[in-house]
This record gives sequence, C-alpha cells and structure tokens, in this order.
Amino acid sequence: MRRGNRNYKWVLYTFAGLIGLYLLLPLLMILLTSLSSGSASKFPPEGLTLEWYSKLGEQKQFLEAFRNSMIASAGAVLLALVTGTLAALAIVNYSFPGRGLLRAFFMSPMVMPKITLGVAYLILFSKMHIAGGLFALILGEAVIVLPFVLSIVGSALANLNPVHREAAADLGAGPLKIFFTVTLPQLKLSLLLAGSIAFVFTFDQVETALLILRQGSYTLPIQLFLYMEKWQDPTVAVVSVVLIAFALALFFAIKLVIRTAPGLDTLAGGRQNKGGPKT
Amino acid sequence: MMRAAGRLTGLFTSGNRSWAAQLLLLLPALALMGVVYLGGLLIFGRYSFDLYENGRMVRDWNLDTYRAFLGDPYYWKLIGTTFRVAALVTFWSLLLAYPLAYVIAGLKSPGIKQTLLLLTFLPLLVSAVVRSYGWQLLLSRQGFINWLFIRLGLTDSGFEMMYNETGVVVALVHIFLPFMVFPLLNVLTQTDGTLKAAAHDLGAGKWRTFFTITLPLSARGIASGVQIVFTLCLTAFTTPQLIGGGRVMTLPVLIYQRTLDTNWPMAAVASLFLFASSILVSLFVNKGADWLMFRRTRTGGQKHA
Repeated sequence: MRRGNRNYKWVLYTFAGLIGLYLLLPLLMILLTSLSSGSASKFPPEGLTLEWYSKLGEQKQFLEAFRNSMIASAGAVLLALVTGTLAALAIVNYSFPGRGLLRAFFMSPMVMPKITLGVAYLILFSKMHIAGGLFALILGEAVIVLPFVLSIVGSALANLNPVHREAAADLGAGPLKIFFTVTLPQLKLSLLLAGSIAFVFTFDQVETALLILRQGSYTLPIQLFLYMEKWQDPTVAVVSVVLIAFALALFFAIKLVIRTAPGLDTLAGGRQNKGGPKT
Repeated sequence: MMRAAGRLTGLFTSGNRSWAAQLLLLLPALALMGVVYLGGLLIFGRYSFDLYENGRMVRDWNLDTYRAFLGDPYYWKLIGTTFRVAALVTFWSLLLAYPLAYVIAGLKSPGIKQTLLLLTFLPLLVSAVVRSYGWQLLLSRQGFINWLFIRLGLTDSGFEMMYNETGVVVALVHIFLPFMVFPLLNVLTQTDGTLKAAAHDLGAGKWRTFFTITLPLSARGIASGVQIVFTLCLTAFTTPQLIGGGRVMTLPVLIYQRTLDTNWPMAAVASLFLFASSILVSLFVNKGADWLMFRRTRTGGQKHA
C-alpha cells in the first residue's frame, strides 16, 4: 500500500517535471540558437560562438524598436492608470444609474478579439490622420489595458476602510487633499501591480501594433515579427534572449518591490473574504 | 454642534457637487473609450455593410458581404479549422494543466512550489512572437524535435510539423497553458483536505476519491480554464500566422490578410463573426458548467432525502 502510494506520487512528479521541461524547451532552444555558429537554425548546431551578440550593435533597427516599445508601453500604461483610477473612484464611491453597464463597457476590451480592435484602430486612426505613429498606438493600447487597472484598482478601492478618509474629512481636508494624502498612498501597491501587468501586456502586444504602425515607429515585437517573416538568421534568437532577460529582470524587480512593500497579503486576503460569502 | 451644522449644509450642497465630481472623474475614461474604442468599432462595423468590388470599396447599405461570407464553403472550412484548433488546444492544455496544477497544489516544500510556479508563469512574460520563434526552431525540418525523432528511429527524414495544424496546436498549447493552470490551481488549493481524508477512511481508493471528490470540486476551475483558453485560441493571431506561415487559415489570419488587401467589408464581417462566436462560447461553457453543477447538487440532495 505504502509502496503503491509512493510510485503514484513519483509518476505524478515526473509528469509535472516533463510539463515544466515542455514549457522551458522553446526558451532553451532560443538560447542555444543564439550561440550557434551556423547561419541556419539546425540541430545540433555546428559550433558555439558569441559572434551574433557582438553583431547586435550593428542592428540599429532593434535598438530603435526597443526604444519605441518603451515609449509606447509607458505612455499607454500611464494613460490607463490615470483614466482608470479616476473612473474606478467614480464607479466604486458613487452609485448612479447605469453604473454596472458602464463598468461592463469599460471592461469589454478584454473580450474583444485583438485583431478586430487592430483593424478598427487602423481605420479610425487613418481617418484621424494619426495612423502610423506611436501616439496612435498609445491611445489604442490604453484602451486594451484599462480593464486591468479598473479591476485591480477598483477592488482595492472597494476594500479600503473609509475610516481614514472620514477622519481626514473631519479634520477639515478637502476631497483633493484626501485623495492625495490618504487614498493614493493606500492604493500605491495596487497601482504598481496594475501598472506592471499592463506594462508586460502592452510590451508584447502584436495584433494592434502590427496594423497601426509604419516603418520607423515599429515596436520590438513587430520588428521581430517582420524580420522573422523575411530572414532566419540567429539575430532573432539574440534579440529574443535579450527580451527574455528583460522580462525576467522586470519580473524579479516587481517581485522584490512587492515583497518589501507591506500590505499585499491584506489586499489579497481582503479580496478573498469579499468573494467568500457569495459562493 | 457647529460641526453637525456644517455637515448638514454639506449634505444639501453635496448633491450637486457629487454629480459634478462624478462626471469629472469619469470624463477622461469616457473620452478615451468613447472615441478610440466605441468610435473605432462603430466605424469598422459600418464597413460591414459596404461592398468590395474589383479591388475597391463601394459605400452602400446592404448585406451582400454577410451573404458572401456565410454562403461560401471556403469560409466555413476556415471557421471549422479555427474551431478545431481551439478545441484541440483546449483539450491538450486541460490534459497537461490538470496534473501540473494538482502537483503544485499538493506540494509541501515552498521552494519546489515556487520554482514550479515560476516555470509555469515565466512563458507568460515572454512575447508570443519570441515563443513562436522558439517553436519554429524546435519544429523545423532540421530542428530539435525531428533530430530526436530520427535518433529514436521513428522516422528517417523527419516529420513536417511546421506550416500545418500540428505545429500550430503544439505551440498554442505552450502559449495558453498558464491560463489553464491558474484557475485550476485556484480551486485545487481551496479544496478541503478533510473531504479526501473522509473518503479514504470510508474505503475509497485513490482513483475513486479523485473521481468522486477532487474532480467534481474542481469543475468550476475547469470551466473557467476551458472558457479562457478556448476564447483566447479562437482569437489568437501571432502563432497561427508565424507557425502556420499562411497555410493554416484561421479567422484572425483571414481578418489580417483581408485588411492588408484593403477588403475592409470582409474583414469587418469576419471580425463580427469572430467576436460573436467567442461570446457565445463563453456563455455556453458557463451555462454548461452551471447546469452540470446544479444537476449534481440536486441529485445529491434527492439521494439524501
């Protein structure tokens, strides 16, 4: 009986390990290809070299694309954070007719196929004569990440204890002062969380950017996408490795900030408690 | 007393002010969503009533493009491919995600748990373009998988796995697996261990405990995982385009190609169809799960009575 139990666990663990390998395999393959000396992607590689990394400096278009990506993602995230937080304040703190409908409308970009939004943006921005540039992309991406901000910041707002705000009001603080000195500091963590999720999401966005942008304002995924359709040399692998490293660094930075900042447990716990009675 | 009086006047004036404040707070989001999102979609939707003749668009108000889309067997074949790929990916990701989530939920050592969690969610941080590129390398004729197959003696010249449905499904399962693991993990960690222990004490074997306790209790997680992965798959573009190389036509790839051909009416109709079908699938899966759970609890109750 005991032995059977152990065997069964062993099988499960092996299976989980294999799935982990499956998840990691493409990333490992990219790393290997970025180091291979042959120009064609062939397994096993003929030899190992750092040649492609040293050639990366010559590929100005990827550097420029990285800069474009940073600008577009930061812009879109900031826009979504500001508009989304303001809207969440209104939706959570006031009850007005059509509140649920408005919230559903703001959340609906989540279920809209991205390719559909991409074509809609292309047509709209062409009519507005701003298609092709990063400003159009920022507007379009802000719409796509607004639901993240609204749901994360909104649920944090709903869980805030109104006592602090009332105390500030009793001490004579106006609504603006209350927001900046009481509510905003309490929301810091959820804003960071919403912002980082939104940033990763916009940074990797393909469908909308591919249709809106023109040569010169391509973001990194688009530049890679178009390069891949034409060439198959390890440059793509090198850029991909850099991207993976960037994603990892971002992930650990966020994790560090969240771990050092107190209060996430209460945030998560509060949400669970709220969901509890419903089920 | 003074303060109470102040509050009282505040109550009277705040009615007006709160209205203004609400509007002011909502205005930026309303402007953004109204112009960019709703405006864009409405203009795009309007194009679905236009015509596309001899390579140019004709402004009109009729349903010819809808008829052309719904009446053409080519498009139905393409819709079939889209749904078949989505169903296959959902099936395989459920099959792989369930044991993984089960193992993660049952792990006691926090170190291994963290590592497995990181391994599961790391791919999410990496762009779909990069992951598709990784699968291109793995699946190509001279790639790692074929090298492995030849080594194992399964084939002499290697299988063709790029530019067909197999490759697209394998890569999409990789891309959407985390979305299946997350809801499963959510329900599996909440599942009460005492129920399993009770079943075991009553003499139920491992498998019986699993099928009568664990699996039914995780039905909610399965339903939301299936819903998320299926709809994401229906609307996936990057991977089918890069791995399929234009030879695996799904609805999003069709929309992209029609847009490049400036056939906006057809792109609009196909988009509308895609949106409607993803909403319908979500509703269907949700209702289906509700119905199953309701039936279970009801029959259970009758047995007790």
